[in-house]
Amino acid sequence: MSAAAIHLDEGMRVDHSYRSGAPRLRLSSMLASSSAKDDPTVYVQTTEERFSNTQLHSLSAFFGNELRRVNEVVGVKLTKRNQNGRDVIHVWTSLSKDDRDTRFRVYEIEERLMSHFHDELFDFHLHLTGDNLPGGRVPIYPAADADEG
Amino acid sequence: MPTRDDHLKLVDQFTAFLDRERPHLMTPPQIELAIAAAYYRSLHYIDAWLAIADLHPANDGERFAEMRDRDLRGVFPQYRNVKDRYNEALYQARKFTVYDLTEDILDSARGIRDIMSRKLGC
Repeated sequence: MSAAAIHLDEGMRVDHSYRSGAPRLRLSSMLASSSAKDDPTVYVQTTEERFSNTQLHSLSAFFGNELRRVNEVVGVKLTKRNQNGRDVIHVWTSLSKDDRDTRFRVYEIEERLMSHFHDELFDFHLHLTGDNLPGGRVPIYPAADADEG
Repeated sequence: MPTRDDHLKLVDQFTAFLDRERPHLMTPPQIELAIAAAYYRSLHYIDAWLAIADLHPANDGERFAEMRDRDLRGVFPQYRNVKDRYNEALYQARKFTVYDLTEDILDSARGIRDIMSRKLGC
């Protein structure tokens, strides 16, 4: 897997892999074992090659700078799908805690993301890593990226 | 394509459902149905506003972009919350309590209703 790490200030690091079919299980394990509170790394994953490196770098840097303010965010995955003839970037944000205040902080960041990248179409999804999910802590992201909403 | 009034008729139907069923007395699967009704009502409020400008989003990607560009940023967080809760109930079999329904999901849905009914004059 070819991977790159973007080093930001205060030890913030964004890892992302460029290659299609990146080993999701391995990344999921990394996310599941990491505590956002102890480890300020936000992992940004994409499994598609249709992102340009520039686009992916820009999105990753945005998340690195914005989401580090929300301790409960433990991972972000980006996928791009063609829907009705236009590419829609789906943003899957993974939270370690189900909390209304946390969710609304993420929503504010999503709103800024849309304003910042105003030429892109985005759809957003939240996923919980907590024990309250059916099946325990493993399912960071949906297995098959179900066609939600 | 559906007009403003077409969307608002659906809004009325889902509102009638929520009012009739008394959410604070609900048990599953009524809770899940109420979450779906709250989501559909919220979506049709937004699409009613967009239909005035002859905009008819085919998915949430398009809808979010139009919300950003058509003065609907104020309802974005509330709509996101209702949509997330609906998706959790639908795709993750997440169990919600009456408290979740009334204090979180319907609270957001009421926020959308309050803003959109003022904008739409209904």
